[in-house]
Amino acid sequence: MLEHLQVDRPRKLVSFWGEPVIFHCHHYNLFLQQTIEDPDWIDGISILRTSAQEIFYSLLHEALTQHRTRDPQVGFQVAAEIFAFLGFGRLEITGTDQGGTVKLYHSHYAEGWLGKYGEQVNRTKPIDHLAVGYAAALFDAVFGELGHYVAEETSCIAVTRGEHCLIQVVPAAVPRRLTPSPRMGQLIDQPQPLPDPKTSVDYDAVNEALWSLPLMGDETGQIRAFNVLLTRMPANFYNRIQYRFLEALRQVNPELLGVGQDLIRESGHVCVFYTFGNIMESVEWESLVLPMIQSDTDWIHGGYAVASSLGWGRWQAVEVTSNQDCRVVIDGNYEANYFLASHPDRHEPACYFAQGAVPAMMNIVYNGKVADKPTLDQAFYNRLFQRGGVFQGSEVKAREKGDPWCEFTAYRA
Amino acid sequence: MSSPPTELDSFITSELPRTRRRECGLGWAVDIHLPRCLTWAELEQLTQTLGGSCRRFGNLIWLDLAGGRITASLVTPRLTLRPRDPRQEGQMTTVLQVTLSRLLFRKIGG
Repeated sequence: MLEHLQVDRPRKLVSFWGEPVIFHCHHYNLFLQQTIEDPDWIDGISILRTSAQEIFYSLLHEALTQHRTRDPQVGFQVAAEIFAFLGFGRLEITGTDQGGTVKLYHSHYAEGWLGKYGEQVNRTKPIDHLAVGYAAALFDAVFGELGHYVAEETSCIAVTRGEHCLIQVVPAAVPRRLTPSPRMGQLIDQPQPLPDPKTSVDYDAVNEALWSLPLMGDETGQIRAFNVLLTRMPANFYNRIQYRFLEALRQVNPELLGVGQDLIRESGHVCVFYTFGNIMESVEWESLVLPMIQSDTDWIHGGYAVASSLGWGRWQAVEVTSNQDCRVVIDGNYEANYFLASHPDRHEPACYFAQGAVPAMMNIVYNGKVADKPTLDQAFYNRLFQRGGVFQGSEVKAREKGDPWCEFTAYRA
Repeated sequence: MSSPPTELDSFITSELPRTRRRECGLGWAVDIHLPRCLTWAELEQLTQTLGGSCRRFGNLIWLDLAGGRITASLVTPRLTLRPRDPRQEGQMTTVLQVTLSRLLFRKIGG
């Protein structure tokens, strides 16, 4: 499967069967899903499942077209290989055009949830909304068209603590009209010339080192690297669920929109705290990035050098003042690429994930003192952000409003 | 009458300093803290002894063994062991201890 990954070096994007794919870890995946799932005045589960069906259909349709197969068994096999390659777990798929069954082993979401919360909480509802959407999408791609199948998780290991999850797929009573992925979205024409940052970190060298790593699901369909459990997620799944979530809140009450935006920003904060905190404590970091680091501000640059290797776009710190503030440019952020393609009539800054991620990088380096290798758990997170002096951020330039790139600042509150 | 323990004996019998930590998901990782960095040749030898394959990405090395992956580095004195099955962890660390002790002792001894 690695051969189907395409790296767009100038834009620092990665695609897989024509879909932009990006790395995130289960802390972010679980937090974002819970954010969307929790409010009972919107149908968050439907947002998650439908978005997964739409985005994965585009990916699977392309993959099966390229494989030039109409054999359902080959289609099932390819779909299972892709699911495992991306780090979501292992699938066993059986069925016909009348529907079928998908067994899910080592579910990223379910095992991630059990690892994070399983000792404190008993879950009563299934968690694998992405896999449910994926299951419907794979039957769509093998037997029909987008929206022709529906799926339901009837058993989930996050609830049962059993061996595998179970998803049932049936033809939709009435095919649903769903919206395909915008694929790569509205890309930047070419990278903008950015000022050379004052750092000893060589962004391009870090990019090449990380792009050379064959990061893919192991025999369990999980990607364990950088001290975290990674997934290589289609970026447009994140984009679609976050913007649909905000729209659903707005339709309930326009005043909820700001709350929703804050929650997406918080997901970016959670992501950087856990993902980058763990990355910066890993052997991988110590081998590939730490040798370049000469000052505390280089930790910020190192973080963005890694971020720009994850398929997120061209993230670069252009100014970092030690322990005070920073300015970060994102030239071709994955959120903006999607938003510009999907909402061409809207002109407000919409990179909510990045708005949370940029101050979080300052928080993990300067407040969290990640160089001292703290234990990155919920207690540490709470302690860190309940005290004063937390970094906050804002998006000061945005492609959505006509600027040449998106730009963010982080500063002490 | 038995001879006094050699430096190698004490290296083998004293436990390698290690940290066992919960990782994301349901996995465990074991960090093994070494007195010095291993060289590429030593890591190749370690892989050969343990029966696996190793791949190099700059200063980062992956040792893929039947029981799991060891992430190693040419510039940091630490190995991270991620056993596929937690029940194999004890056996893997024991074998590692003996092999590493020999590698490290030989180097230290000159």
